Amino acid sequence: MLFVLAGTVAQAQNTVSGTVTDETGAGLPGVNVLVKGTTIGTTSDANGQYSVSIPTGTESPVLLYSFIGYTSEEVPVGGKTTVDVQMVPSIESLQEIVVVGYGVQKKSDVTGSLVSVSGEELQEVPVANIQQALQGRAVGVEVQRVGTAPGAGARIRVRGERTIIGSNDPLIVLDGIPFEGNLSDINQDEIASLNVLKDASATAIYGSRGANGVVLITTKRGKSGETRVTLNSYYGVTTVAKKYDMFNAEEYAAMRDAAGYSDQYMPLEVEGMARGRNTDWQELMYEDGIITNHNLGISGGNEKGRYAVSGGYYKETTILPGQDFERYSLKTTFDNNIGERIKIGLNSMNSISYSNGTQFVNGQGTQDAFGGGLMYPILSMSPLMPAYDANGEILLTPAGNQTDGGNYNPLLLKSNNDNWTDRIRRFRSFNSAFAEVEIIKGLKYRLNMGFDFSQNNSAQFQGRDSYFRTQNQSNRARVGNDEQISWTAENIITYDKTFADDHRLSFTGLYSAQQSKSWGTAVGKDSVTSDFIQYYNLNMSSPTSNLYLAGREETWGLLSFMGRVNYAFKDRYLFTYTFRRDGSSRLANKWHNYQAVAAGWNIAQEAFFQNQDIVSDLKLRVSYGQTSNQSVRPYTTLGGVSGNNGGIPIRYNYGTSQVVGFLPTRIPDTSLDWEYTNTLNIGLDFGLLEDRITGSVEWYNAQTDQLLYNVTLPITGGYQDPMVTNLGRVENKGVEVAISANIITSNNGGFTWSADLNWFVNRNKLLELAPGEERSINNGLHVGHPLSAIYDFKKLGIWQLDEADAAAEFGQLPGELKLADISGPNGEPDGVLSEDYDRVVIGDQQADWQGGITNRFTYKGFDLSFVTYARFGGLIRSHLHAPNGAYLTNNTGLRNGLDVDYWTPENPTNWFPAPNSLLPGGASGSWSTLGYYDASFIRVRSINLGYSLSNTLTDKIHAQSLRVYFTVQNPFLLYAPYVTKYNGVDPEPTGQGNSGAVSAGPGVRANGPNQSLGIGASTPPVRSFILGINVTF
Amino acid sequence: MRYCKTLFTLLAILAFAPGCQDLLEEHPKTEFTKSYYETAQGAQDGLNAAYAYLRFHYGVNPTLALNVSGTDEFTYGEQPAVNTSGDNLPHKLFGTYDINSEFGFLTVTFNRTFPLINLLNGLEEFIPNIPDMTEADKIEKLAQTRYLRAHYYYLLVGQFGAAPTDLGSGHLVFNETPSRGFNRPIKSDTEGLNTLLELNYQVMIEDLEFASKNLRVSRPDNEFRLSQAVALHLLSRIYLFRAYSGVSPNAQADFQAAYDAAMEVINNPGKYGVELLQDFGDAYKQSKEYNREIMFAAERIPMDNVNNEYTNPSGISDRENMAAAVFTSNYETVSFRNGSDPIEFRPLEFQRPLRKLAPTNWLTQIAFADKVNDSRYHNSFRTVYTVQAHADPGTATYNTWLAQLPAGVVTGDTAFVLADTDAQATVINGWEVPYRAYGPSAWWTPENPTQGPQIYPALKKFDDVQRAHGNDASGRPMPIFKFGETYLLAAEAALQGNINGGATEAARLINIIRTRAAYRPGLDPGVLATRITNMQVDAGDIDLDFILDERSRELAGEGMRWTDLALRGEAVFLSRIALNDQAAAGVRAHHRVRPIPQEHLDRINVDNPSDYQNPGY
Repeated sequence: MLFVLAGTVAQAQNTVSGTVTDETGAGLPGVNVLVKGTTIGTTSDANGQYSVSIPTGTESPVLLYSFIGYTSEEVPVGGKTTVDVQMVPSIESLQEIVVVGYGVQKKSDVTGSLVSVSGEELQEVPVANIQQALQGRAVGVEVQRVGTAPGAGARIRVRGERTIIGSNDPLIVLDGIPFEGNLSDINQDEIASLNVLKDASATAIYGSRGANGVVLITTKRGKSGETRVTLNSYYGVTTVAKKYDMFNAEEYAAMRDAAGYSDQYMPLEVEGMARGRNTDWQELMYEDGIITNHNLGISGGNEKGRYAVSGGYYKETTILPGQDFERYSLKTTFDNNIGERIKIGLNSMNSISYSNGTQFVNGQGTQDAFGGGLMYPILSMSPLMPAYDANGEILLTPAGNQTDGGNYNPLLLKSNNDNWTDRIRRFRSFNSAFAEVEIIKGLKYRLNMGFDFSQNNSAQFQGRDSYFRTQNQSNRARVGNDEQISWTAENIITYDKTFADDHRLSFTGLYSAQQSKSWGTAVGKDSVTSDFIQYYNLNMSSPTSNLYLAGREETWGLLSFMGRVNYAFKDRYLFTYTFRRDGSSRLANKWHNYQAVAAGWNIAQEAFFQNQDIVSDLKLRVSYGQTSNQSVRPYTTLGGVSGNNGGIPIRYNYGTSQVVGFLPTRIPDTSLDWEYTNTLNIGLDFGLLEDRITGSVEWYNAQTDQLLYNVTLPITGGYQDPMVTNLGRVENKGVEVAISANIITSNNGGFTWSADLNWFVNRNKLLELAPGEERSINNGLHVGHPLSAIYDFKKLGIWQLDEADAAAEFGQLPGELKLADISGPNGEPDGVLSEDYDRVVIGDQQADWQGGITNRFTYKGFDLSFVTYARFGGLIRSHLHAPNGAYLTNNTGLRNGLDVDYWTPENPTNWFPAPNSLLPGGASGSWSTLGYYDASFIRVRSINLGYSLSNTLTDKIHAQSLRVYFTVQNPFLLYAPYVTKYNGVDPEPTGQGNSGAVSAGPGVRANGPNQSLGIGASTPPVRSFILGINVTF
Repeated sequence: MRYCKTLFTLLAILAFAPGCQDLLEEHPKTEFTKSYYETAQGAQDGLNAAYAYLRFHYGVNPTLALNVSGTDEFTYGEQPAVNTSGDNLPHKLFGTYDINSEFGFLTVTFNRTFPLINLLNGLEEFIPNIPDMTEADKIEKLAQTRYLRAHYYYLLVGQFGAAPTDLGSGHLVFNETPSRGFNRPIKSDTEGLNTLLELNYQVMIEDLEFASKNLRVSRPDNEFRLSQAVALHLLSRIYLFRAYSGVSPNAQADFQAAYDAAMEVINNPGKYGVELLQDFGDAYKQSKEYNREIMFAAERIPMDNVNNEYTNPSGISDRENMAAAVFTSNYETVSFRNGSDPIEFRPLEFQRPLRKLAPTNWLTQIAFADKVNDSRYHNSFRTVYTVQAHADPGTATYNTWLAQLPAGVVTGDTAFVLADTDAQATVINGWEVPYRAYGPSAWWTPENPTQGPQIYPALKKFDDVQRAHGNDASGRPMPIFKFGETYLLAAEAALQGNINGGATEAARLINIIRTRAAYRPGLDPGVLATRITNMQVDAGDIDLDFILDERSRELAGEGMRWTDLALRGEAVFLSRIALNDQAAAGVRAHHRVRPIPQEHLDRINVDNPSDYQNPGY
């Protein structure tokens, strides 16, 4: 009571309010307003309005207004109750500070190629991890998903792929410390900004790890001002965006009859036909999911010390039973100034997450593997079969054929009475601390320490007589533990000095060390004594049951020296030289030096450019330099003496005494070198019409040579494992355009429209493989083509009735697949279709171009945004359509399939061959060619509509700001021929290798870090409807 | 403020301090380097691997095909005849000598030998450096090392001819030099190939001479560890083969050495722990594998998939012991006279009917013409099947099957009979019984593929009833060398080298095993005596063909016949394979060595890889 009274009194006496406007007079939101000498302050609302209470007794109060990119203002209050301020752009105008490797730079000083995305922009697409939010948002950055389960990752490629067996993933640096592994560990709400470094000048400072680009993530920290409490919360419902288009009962029977499937219909199917039954298994299985996120933060502090603490909760379930992802996160930051010259800070990010159903439910296409797989049975089961028996109980074995007769009904998954578990629990603690001392003016020493620990614990169990294990099978369980611990220590010296007014020089020097160790254990057993035990004690199982044991360990270290000089003359002529020397534990030739040079010319600042008002900013940048890729597995260069042969432990017995064996399987690899990428980058940054329109255009050419490549040596050398060596060259060339425009601006809360647009092209080409090697079919590599080349038979259509004679020459009949006879042993078509002579590169999975556009509108308190992503050109590899891929289009009549248009004498289509219960001899291997389709699409990723309450309303609830919003995620596809013409459900990949399929098809990279992406039978795409609120107190 | 600066200095020092160069050294925890072999445990683990890889060569489908199919004894079975998918096609093509270098079967022998030779070269170098090991231990381990190296060269030479002894770093030196070459003369360089082959024999003989003096004398009772007996046995084989090879410096001396090595064992069975069992069939009995007649075997443990390296116990790759299954015909297709089903699915005792290999007419009708005095036909082949179910009694499947059996028939009753002769079949088929008998003319053969059930006598030496499921692989040890063969080696060396009376000595030795072959348990002593008499041969009966016939009777299907023929020279090879109706038309002299696998030729980095193919391919 007393407190409220006191507050009221204070307010009555000393409240100052007003509006902060920018140079155009428009309300400027987010400006920090602080009562000088205190921690009391506020920020301006969406319309630029603010209100702050000055404590009684403050002598001649002064208000401090600060905002990035603007000169801070100090205004004495005097006796006024209203203070309006117009902020002036700082001298370093439009000169946002951008984060670069080991430091920050004014944007106008940057000579390298980089792209920034703010935390707010990322939050426009609410998802579990930042990769997906990044899709279509950053020019030159391609994001493709690699899974459909909640929390599944995505593949980020900066300017294409450049390595074959190494990782093409960019280096992620979180608050200055390299971040390895799973990005779902990061709570998206905590991200302040994200910068992607692309060219050699920007990435050479990361030397041996810069070749794939660098993603710098900066998280939020506490700011000076009064204590602030923020709550961001949303809740949404997810529904199936599009079901797979399968044959219905009538169509299924027609296909089965056309196939001449000799096996009789099951009695229940006959009954189903009589009753007109049409079981829609998808409809029965799918249920609505949820997506929800809550993030509560407290921050505050003063010039001496600042803090921020926040906790988050995220949960996503999906439309299939048993699949979900849940994450709890806690982040704490402290920043302290000790005296005038010393700063220290700490950032601790901790998260714990649970993923369910990633192995069983979303696994491979067949039910046999321990991985399991749910979509295949749902899609392939006979629509003539009932889901429930006469008593309304779930029909245990509803397969429409004898072959699958033992398979259980997937509806059993809807009620899991502890008879199966498929859980991964992940814990991560990512900590960084720094201390910085200004030794003399301009000279600073900074120590960065990073400590990162993560642990994965997986538990899997399949009970006896459960969906996954039928009556004759024992139960089985598997438990795994993996952990990774790494530390980083960086010593950084920076020196900034301006000489004779016109010469600005800065130097950054670094010595750093990093070490990472990971290890894991997995154990599994079947015939656990009772289902009740699950995976908790594998020792309680039959002594003779199958035992599975596995373990691994990897440790690597990296030592680096780095130096960078930036020089600017009259702010117009910029020059950067970067040097880095890296030593890696992984390679035989441990040390290498990297260098990059770059120059920039701020043309707009030249005198001759001043007499016009169209071009407000113009800068030309050129850079050239070298980076590399050290991504070979640790221990590769050591000769390997292994206790495994093809993944199976070498064992033997002398009588009953059991022993293990060790064999030299890998030859010592003493010449292994790094993989080098040399990049030339030319960029032009521009601002037009007083920077109403800003943007950049870039051109680059990146040549990667000494590619790391697995060569299988002749076995007569005595080693069965491939040797990693350096061979071949890859090229990536491209053009990138990014434009931001304030199309309509307004003063005082009127209508505004702004848009960010990006468009980019990357051309990837394998220039050279081993000497004399034109292609490596099993690795999917073809010289002169992109790394994603598709090598297969060329489909001409279907043999039609009037082509019976021509078909007969190939031993085929009308209705069968018609393929191009490309060549033969004598170099010309020979009338025989063979894998050796008639397969060619028929396309690739590279986009012709891709891009994104985000439109934002505001009016009064309302804001509306659309995020759109487009990808044009290239081919989809649809395992769904490859008859031997996911077995959903082989039309043998055995199982249901995708509702494709197949040939019959009455329906002379050229799409799919005639159903045939007997796969035509020899043809089946060529059928993968039915699975390639145009990959183009335009997708609206999200639509956000928000409303920010005005200050008068927020004051009533003692809030500084409050915004409510409604988001539709994945609302619709504007264009996608694969979906509209070819019965696909979504044009984006669902996984790598043979994920969602039995076979990835011939000539496909189906393992390793750069597996081919494809569309298999996996959880269908979902659409979410989300309602959320952001409040700051 | 001062303490802060101190703190900083300290932190800065700490950051630099740890011997940072250590970061760049690799010390793997789960991977070893060659230095592991310089420890006692490491050397033993290396030897274990060399023993373990014998499993790829004994009992698995691909190497059984290479060593059994297309010989005078066996041809392809009913599956390869009707089905060209998977491993069936190579079975058929090997069986008809329509052989090309693409078949994966070849790579099992080719690829599962060189890594072991490299390992064993290394062990020979590393074992002497092991600290804390007695000299005697080192010598014994070196003896195992050198025996196994000889054995792997024997497997290679037997299939592919001359094999490199320089894997990249020098003659019999542990290889650490990455190379994409192939240290073998090209096919037109006959002289070079012969020189290398001569070197191969020299290496094998030197290794085996060393092993036969330094291994333990006899093996432990219940373990198939290497012993001097095994080394002497293989040494005898190798001397014999060198004598036939055309590259021997002195063939007569080789026959003498072969004879001496074999006789050393034959004359000292107590010392070497070997004996001929009274009953020929007992040598193959399950759970009695460690009998004294089996000298050496590739071991496995029944029902232990992990130890047996089976990730898929019903697989038919190069890992699973399918020795019983590949010889088994399709007994599931046989019914009682009234059409009912006497055998439910695949009872364990009848093995999985993989039907990859079938005995030739020559084997069942000519080599085993005498099925009465000689017990070895019935001890080698299953000819009587009984009423059995795979399903457990009480299950629905079992009850359904039981209900359809003819009245009065119970499990254990006769299901069908593969009669010794057509006449015998006619007699049985005249009886009033529910089952039928099938004489030789009613058996499935490649020439006679469509009549009736697809059955023929199944080799039963490797039968395994200790399996979790009818389709599962066997966990039995697979015999490599048997004492019975030692007599045949000595006999052959005596004959060819005209030693101790030549044919007379050969007849004496052969009569020892033929006398034993007459034995059947429970036989009236008088009858046995007559049969023994009937079995005796004399010097006039003995020639190389007789010895090869006798080898078939003693060793049918035991995974060495093809090598036996190939290494006895072109004339023997062609004349014996001509006894196989399917192989006769296709076989040529150049088939005496297998093609070098195409996979290997694709990997070598030379101008014309095909120059390195074996001649004729």
